[in-house]
Amino acid sequence: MRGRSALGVFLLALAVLLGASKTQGNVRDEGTYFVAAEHYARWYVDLADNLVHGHPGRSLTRTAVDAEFADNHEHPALMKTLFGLSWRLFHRCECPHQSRLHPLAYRTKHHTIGLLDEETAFRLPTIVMTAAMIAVVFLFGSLLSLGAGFAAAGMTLFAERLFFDAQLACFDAPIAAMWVFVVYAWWRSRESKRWGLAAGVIFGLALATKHNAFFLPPVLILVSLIVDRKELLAAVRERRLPLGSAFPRGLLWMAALGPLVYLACWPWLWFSTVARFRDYVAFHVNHVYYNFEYLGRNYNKPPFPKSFVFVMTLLTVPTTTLLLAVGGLWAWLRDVRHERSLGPCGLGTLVLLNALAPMLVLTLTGAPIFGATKHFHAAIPFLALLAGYAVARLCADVPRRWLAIALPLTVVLPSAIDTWHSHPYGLSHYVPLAGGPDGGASLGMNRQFWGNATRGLLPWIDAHAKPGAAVYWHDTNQLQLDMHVRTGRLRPDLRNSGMEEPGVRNSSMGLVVLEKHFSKYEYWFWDFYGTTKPSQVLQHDDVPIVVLYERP
Amino acid sequence: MKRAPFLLAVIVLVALVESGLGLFQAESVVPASDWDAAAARVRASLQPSDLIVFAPAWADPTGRLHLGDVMPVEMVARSDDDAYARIWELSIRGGRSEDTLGMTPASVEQLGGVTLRRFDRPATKVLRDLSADFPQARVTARRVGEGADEHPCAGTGRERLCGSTTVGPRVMEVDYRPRRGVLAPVIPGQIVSVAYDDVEGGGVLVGYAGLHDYYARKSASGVVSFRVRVDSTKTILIPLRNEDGWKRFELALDPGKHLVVFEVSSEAPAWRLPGFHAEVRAPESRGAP
Repeated sequence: MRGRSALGVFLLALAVLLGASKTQGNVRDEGTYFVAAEHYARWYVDLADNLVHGHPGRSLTRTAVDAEFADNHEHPALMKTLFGLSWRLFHRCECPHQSRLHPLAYRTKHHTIGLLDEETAFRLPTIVMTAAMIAVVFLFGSLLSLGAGFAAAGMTLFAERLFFDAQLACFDAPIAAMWVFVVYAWWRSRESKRWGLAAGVIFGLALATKHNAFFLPPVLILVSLIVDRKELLAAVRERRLPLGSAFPRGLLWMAALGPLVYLACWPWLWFSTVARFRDYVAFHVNHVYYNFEYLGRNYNKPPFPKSFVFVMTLLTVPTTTLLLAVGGLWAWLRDVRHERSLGPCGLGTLVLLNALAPMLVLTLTGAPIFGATKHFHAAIPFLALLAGYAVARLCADVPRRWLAIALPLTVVLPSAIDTWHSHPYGLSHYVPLAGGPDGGASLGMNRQFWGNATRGLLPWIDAHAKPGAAVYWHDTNQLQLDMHVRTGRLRPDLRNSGMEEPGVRNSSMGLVVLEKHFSKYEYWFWDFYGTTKPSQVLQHDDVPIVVLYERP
Repeated sequence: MKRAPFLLAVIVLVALVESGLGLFQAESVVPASDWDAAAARVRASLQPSDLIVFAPAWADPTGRLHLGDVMPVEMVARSDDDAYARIWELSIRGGRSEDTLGMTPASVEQLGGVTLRRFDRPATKVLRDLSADFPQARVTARRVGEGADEHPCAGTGRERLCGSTTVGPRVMEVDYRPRRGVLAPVIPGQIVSVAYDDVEGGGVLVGYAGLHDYYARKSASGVVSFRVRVDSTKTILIPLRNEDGWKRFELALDPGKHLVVFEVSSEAPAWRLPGFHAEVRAPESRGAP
């Protein structure tokens, strides 16, 4: 029953995310990853070809590896590899006719299944992984009750910021999914040798997804120290290994297999491994400070506000979910004290620490706050599981059959409405507690940060721009535009007028993505076009998110 | 547990209220026709000394979509409201503009989702706008230190070239807000001067100065020395720092013709983009708010 239900949850989430992704604009980082993905996929295709022809060594030279994997080596390769392979398998190919729009030249059409447009084909791995995460959240939650499983899965799927990222060829939803997979495998490894092995492999894949995974082992060790403290103390006293579920099988496999899988997935690290890994770490430790508006102030250098992750969570996660999560935590603690907990022993500690850890990592390290909530998405499934506990407890204490169905549906409803309301401008959206998108704007919260909203103006630009017009695209990069052309959403004759002030001076039409620090770009239009009247204002609810000017 | 039915009711209530609010917010967008109706009312009564503002502040681009053609940069990127005798405020979702806070409206009209308020107020008279008169200014640069020769910057009209640095009127971004004025970037080791001859006195020189461009403010923190000289008799020195915003200054001008000079320099010149705006206002000009 649980297995079939989990499959149903997976398929439903997959359908919802696939459907939604059709209208979501691509983001700046996706443009970069589309390029890297084509490179990485080519290396694997060449490797397969060389294997078939009996000389795989040709693909394994430093030159061959660096030729493809040098691109975007500041992030591990797994997701970009999956994006590329998915694209290679599923896209409807017009590549030979789009020579300027691809990083590589293709003389003939690819043989593909041809199910998806190029952009969706790149995004498919994220969508599948997120749907799988929703199913695993269901499995976790159903350890409490089926209703708790459905509620937790629904609240995770429809957490609108995570929902936004779940449709992108980026790493933030995948690393949240990987975090959940590792935690699930580690939890199962306490009773199963096979799951120990799985935990090791999955942890390696998580490392190969994004660096957030390096913070997982300390969290799991802490869980073990709390949950297994009696057995661990006994083992220390008796100078023996811990027994039963306290034996750190999962962690040992993670330590043994994690680095190997990590390296296997990232060929760029196969050469000059130490130096390149050091560069990778240095990139993230010394990451550039982007601009981010928070409570009316633009932050672009330290110190960053400690309240950030908590206020962002409060204003972007539905209040019903948060209230239930707090109630669930309170009920869980009380139930453990009275030895009537609904779930297996230790599950509450696991869920609580994993709800807190992704948020505390940002808060305690003083990391830059750009990216809104995307760097702590992994907290969402565990907050939803805490909420699921509250659902399970209420259903247990008020035993009515109809309630077991009605309550999960009722508590997921605000999330579903909020996500429907936010789409496709999830980054500009705030929950009703914040007053909605306009409340967020009035509070001085970040309006957006990734240049995705441009897509909303493409139909107007296509219809109104003169042939060959020079357009200033502001925060939308050329790689994003290339994908819009490849998928038929943007006319190929339109030119990019360039960047910064010369780009505006040389344009006949242009747009500004509205963020606090971007205001000077709009003033350039006033100066160089001689008007303060935009031709179009793209809004989410009443909140302007992109303005477009035409030279009179 | 005895409290369970109560807690259940609370959760269901919260979920339903939140769902209802979500639906309501999605359906409560102000239609363009309401903006058009309010804009038409403003156009019908608009006078040259009127100011148009929008509330909340984030609605400004939408407002300009409907009225931007009658909102020149002199209005949109103003330093203050002192020269405007009437303020039209177009407001949505209960917003109020900072320009009208504490004022009592002379008229209020509800046009669908847009509230139109008119505020009447005493205005000051601007005798001369020195930013607008920039083409008449002499722009020079000289080395820091006593007795250094002044070199005129090349060009005439809207922009002057001091080496590779352009000085001229622009809409600047100071503290993330639009400010019309003269952008005079710092040149390392030099003092850049913008001088106006024959400025008619008998009024008050009211001005503002600040540092343009968030990226420049992010990239450096050097203090800029902004000096205002009237003839050789009056001088004020205003240090400009990143966090200062748009700083106001005033100098009374005696009757007669005056030489008014604005100078910028800095010992830490990297990424320093100061700008200023100045007007001669009639003597009854109000002071700083």
